[in-house]
Amino acid sequence: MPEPQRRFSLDSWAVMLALAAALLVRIGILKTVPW
Amino acid sequence: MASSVALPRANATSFSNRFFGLIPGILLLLAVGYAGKFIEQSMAHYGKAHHLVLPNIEYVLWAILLGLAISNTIGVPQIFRAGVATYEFWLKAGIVLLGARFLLGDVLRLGGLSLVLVFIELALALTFMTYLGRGFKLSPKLVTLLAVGSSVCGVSAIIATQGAIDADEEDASYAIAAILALGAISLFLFPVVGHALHMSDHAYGLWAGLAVDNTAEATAAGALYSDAAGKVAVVAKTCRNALIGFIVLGYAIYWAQRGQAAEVKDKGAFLWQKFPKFVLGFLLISLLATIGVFTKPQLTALGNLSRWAFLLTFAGVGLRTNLRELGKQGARPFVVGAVGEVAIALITLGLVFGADKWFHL
Repeated sequence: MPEPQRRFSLDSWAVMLALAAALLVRIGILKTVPW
Repeated sequence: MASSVALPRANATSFSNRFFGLIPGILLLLAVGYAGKFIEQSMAHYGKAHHLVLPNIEYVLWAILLGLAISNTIGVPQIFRAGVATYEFWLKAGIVLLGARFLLGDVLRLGGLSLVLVFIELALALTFMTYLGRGFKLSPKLVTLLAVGSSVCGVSAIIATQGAIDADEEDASYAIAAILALGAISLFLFPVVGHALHMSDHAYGLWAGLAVDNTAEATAAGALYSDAAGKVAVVAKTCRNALIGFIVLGYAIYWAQRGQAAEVKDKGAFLWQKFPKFVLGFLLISLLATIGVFTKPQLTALGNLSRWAFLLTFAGVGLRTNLRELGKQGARPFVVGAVGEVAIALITLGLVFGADKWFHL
């Protein structure tokens, strides 16, 4: 069976994850991220 | 009717299977990366407590070395492989988040200079690699793959080009093996050369971003030198990545005119499909940081999130590099790649020294 066409590329998912993380930081849910 | 009910359920099962199948490998990336960080901190504490001057070896190197040790001794068990392969995903997410540590003006200034150097590098490197490959009598499409891999952006460029020019799987695997092996070597050689030449963080980062093939290796080679060099390497490498679509399109048209690849009908759609979207994400976060959307502690938090994403990436670079497998590939593609890499490293070093003289990097 052929592989179904993906709606978003891996690249786009990575961007969305990063933007979602930035949003969580901006609205204060992720206040500090230790390193 | 039955199929319309059964299909979504099957899709949901396969999605959840795939998702949960990634978790062991991602945990392995985290464990290896964190072990690297732990070793770095432990060495620093030990040196301080015992008044010893120990070399400051960054977690980047430890994570890569631990990954290499695992993949080349016991190997990476099947259960971890899918998750380990996500390291490129973390790399791209990390690059987008790194945008928070740049003002857009700096990105445009550094990116503008990088783009000029990338154009020169691409023209020289593609020409040199093409003639070198022909001289070694490699198949024409393997020459194209090696040229694109070594001058644009490593494995992603090879995979994108392979599809566009209908190249053989075998040629692509030769080119990928050669580029991966050379990427692993440059990762360790570049910082040594940079220190020997007393290069500034900016100059070295620019050089690593222009010359090291894969984005993961270029980021690691920069971070091994210094944090600042790592940031510059990412910007320079991102400029190279941004041009991938144009280079692949050029080669696709070239091979289609010779009747050896499918014709590209919609060039705009082709360019958009090949364009690395994380470049846009990086610019967007940088723009938001510049206009003051984030407070200072929030920018620090985003920078740290980017570091965690890179930590997973560096562990993945070591874990996916199997030196024995790479050694099994043919010698000629490796030799062509190696000669080409040395030439590209020297050309870009000359470009960076020239830019340093003119623009005081």
